[in-house]
Amino acid sequence: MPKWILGFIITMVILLIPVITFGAPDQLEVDASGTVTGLINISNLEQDITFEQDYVLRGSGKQSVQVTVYVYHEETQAYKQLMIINTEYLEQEEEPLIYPRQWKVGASGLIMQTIQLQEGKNRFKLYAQKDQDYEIIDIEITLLKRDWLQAIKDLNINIQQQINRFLPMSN
Amino acid sequence: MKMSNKGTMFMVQEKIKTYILIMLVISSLFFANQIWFGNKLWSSDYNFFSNWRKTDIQQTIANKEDMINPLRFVVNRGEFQLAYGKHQPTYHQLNTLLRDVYVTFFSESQISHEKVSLQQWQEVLNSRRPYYYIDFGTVSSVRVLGQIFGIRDTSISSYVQSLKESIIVPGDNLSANIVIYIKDDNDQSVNKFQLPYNKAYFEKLNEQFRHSLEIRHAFSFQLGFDTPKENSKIIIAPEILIPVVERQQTYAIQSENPLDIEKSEMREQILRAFQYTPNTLRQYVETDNTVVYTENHSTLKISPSGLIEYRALESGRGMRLTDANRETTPTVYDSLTMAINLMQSIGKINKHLHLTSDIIEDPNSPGVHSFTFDYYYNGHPILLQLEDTAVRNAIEIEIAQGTLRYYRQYVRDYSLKQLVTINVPMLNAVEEYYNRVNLYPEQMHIKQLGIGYIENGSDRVKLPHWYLKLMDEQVFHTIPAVK
Repeated sequence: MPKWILGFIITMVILLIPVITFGAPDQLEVDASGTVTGLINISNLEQDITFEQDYVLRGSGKQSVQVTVYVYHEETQAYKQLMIINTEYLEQEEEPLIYPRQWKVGASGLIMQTIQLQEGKNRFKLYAQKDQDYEIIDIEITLLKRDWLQAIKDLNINIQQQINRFLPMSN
Repeated sequence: MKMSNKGTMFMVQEKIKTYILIMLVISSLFFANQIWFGNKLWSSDYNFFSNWRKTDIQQTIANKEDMINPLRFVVNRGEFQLAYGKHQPTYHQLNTLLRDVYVTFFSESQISHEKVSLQQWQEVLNSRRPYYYIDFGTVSSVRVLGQIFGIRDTSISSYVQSLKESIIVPGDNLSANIVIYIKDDNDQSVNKFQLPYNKAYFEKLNEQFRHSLEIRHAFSFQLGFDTPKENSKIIIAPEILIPVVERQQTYAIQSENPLDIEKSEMREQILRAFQYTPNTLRQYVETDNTVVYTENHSTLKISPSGLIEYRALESGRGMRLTDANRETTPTVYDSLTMAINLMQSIGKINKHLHLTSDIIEDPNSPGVHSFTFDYYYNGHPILLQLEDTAVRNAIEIEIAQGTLRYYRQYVRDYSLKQLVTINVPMLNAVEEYYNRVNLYPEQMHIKQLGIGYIENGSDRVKLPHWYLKLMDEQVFHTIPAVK
């Protein structure tokens, strides 16, 4: 093999190594954990039930941290990268652009990203990476139908009305 | 024969005289009308007919309300909020209902009241139950607001001095009361009132909003963006509404200058509004074709660029806007009424305007009041960025003791053009500005943030922009919202 070809191949391998080493993996195991903490801070992790299909991740993070979203797949019992289809291309009848759901934290440090939920339990992992360090955050949130909310409200009112029948009215 | 000819001629002469007499009477009536009610031959100080204008109080009040109606309503949908501006039909539906609530509220002579904490205010905004958040955009004295709603002396002013925002919570069917929270802008205290009110229409509205597909928003404090964090460099005022979608659609708009000095009818209407007599004016033309009129110890400039500017040359000698025999010092409400009456008399060029200055009495300057109005179109403010940087508001008015001291208006009219997609999320725009000014690692405090249109005087189509104002600053900064 000519030397120049060999030199070219070695150069390309050296250039591509950071991408191979530091890119987010295609898949995460259920018990995957990170090497550090504190790269990002999601403030609404405590929320576990919602009636809204759009779930807004909110918080803050260190500048230049790359965050990738993974969603749990029952069939493989693992988390895979959540992919987004750019529907603008679909309307123009071109080949749709598909890319992973990921973003980079800007200079402001603020995070506000929307993820669409499926009905029932949704399990995600956020893979936050900066240089060689990475942090993994687990998120579990259940999307309930609005009918559930109305049923709870109706039940609540009925119970109150029954109780009030036996209690004196207060001014 | 001679006698009959003479008689006929006499008859003819008498008929001619009669016709001439009738014509003279008609023409004198016509010219008298012109002189008394049209082009007056003397200044308004001596012409008592000049005040024979139709003073329809109801019409005045209705137009005042239009300019100081709430800037927006925010409806709670559980986890997100929906925002409605004047360009949306739902806004008017809400305005009708909530105006009735306010009238009932201000009319109450006795009402249940307690002071609550600022934390409770935020808890209400953050709750899942239905509520209506009302933002007037400017601070108003409660007394004046009551007067605008038709209540001369509201008892609510004994609890709250001034307000800009309030929350109405309909509550459930177990109580006959609705709850009204008002944040007193004077001391930032929060007041809670219980008002007996029929909730039937609220229930219907709640159902409507449950299924709404409007853009979701969240308050800055709900996202945690209002307090300093370890990694965050941007702090956004707590009640700024942030759209939680990455894209949204709105309209590009076009502006035009409807002010045409060449049209005598428009020019004369403006002159008459400022009590200038068209027939006896002194005038000259400046190098930029601005026509300058002088009369009655004042100057009036009308520029082809759309600028109207009135200035009294001596203090207290400006155009009188109220009765000269008035004994009491005009209140801020009186001055506001005079200002809006003046704007109405200038003509149909005053559209899409909203009051943007506070309506507060200054005890240090009794009878002296200044107001600003700005254009709002398609629910968004029009931000002036003109060559003359002194012009920062669409209308500036200064009234002292019932006389006009100063008036300046930049005249524009707007229309919708094509639908465009805002593809720059709000946070991205904020970050772009933060990077632009190279503030890192300093923090940036934002007190105002939203979508607006830039008016630079050109006739080009105007795309929406994100605008922001920082704490302790009066100027706004803009970032394109469409890329």
